[in-house]
Amino acid sequence: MFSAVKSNVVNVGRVNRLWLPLNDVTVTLAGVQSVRRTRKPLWLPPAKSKMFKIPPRKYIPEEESRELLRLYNNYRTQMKMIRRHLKNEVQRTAATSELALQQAAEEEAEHQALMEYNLQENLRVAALRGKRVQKEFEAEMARVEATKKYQEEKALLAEEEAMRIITETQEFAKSFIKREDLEQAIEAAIANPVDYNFAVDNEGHVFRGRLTKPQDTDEKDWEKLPATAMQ
Amino acid sequence: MPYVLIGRTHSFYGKRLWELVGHLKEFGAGRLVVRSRFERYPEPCYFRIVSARPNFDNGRPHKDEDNMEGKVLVEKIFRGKNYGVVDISDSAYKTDFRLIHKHEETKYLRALQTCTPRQINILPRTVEMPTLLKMVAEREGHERTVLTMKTSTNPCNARVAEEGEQPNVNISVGLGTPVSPQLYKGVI
Repeated sequence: MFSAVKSNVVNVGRVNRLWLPLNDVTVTLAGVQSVRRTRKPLWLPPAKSKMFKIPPRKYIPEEESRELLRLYNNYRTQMKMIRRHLKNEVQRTAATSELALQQAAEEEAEHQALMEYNLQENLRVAALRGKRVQKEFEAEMARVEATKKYQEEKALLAEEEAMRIITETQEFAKSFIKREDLEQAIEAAIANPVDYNFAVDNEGHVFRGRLTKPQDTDEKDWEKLPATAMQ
Repeated sequence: MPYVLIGRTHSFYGKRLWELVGHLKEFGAGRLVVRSRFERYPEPCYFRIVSARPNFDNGRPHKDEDNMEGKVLVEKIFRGKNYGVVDISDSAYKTDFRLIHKHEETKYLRALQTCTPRQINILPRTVEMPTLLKMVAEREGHERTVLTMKTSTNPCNARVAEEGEQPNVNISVGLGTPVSPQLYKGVI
């Protein structure tokens, strides 16, 4: 066994040189076995035990070598033909090849045709849209006209209503107490006091007046609450 | 004194080219050398040295082995075909060269004239696709559903068959025709 495997250090001249990669031998993880290179590096001389070893020359019989030559020649010839075929195919179908350029031209022509079709279709749809928009505009205008007419009628009605209210108010304002009649109105009010107090008994009889007593009036003349109020 | 060779062996046999030409007049210009690796071919293979300039002093005495560098031009004959004057400086250091005696040169020259030319592999124009690739090609509409053969710009031993010509090499999906059928005995 090569002695350097144990020490990992080879004496080359006077220099101790570490010939195994340091990481390979110093990795000591628990449960992990480090990978060791067991091969002797190329720059070391042959081992002393192998120094005079002469490996025997390989001998291939004549008939066998001729057959191998034929097979290899056929193999190389066929592989060259296959490579050339594939290369020609790649060149034929490459981006700059005639076929590819022809295909690109066909695609461009188809694209142009489709763009022209798209333009025509857009024009057709635009005409249809114009008709529809015109119709919608006219419908909208008719609706606006109708709305305006309705609003005018509504305003007219409102004016009539306002005029009616004004008229009624003017009529009502005639009953207002004027300043020159104020004294007379006060005196009239004092002379005719109004008592809004009233009392109600369990049977629903109403007795008007703050100081009125039931016995003041005859029981037949007692005022009765309306029947709806009892429900 | 007997000696024992130790160490690894190789397929070369011979000396370095620099070692050969270093002993010759004018560094062996005009002489024939062969590489033993090329002697396995039936057709003649040799080099005729045109000029050689070995680099004796590399500025580092005793640093490396001698006779390792230089510039050499040779007339190359490989498998019965003359490839003209080539530079083999990059391979001249290989211990694979053998000098041919002058009286043996005629043998090589005559062999070059009389040798049968090397067989040219005539490859099929198209080859069937592998099954999966063929399915993909048919599904995705590839341009072709067969593989087309194409050689490198100047191949020395192969060419694509002409229109209507019969290829002499069978390339197909699968094993094909084995050159050593005995290897497959009992297997397929």
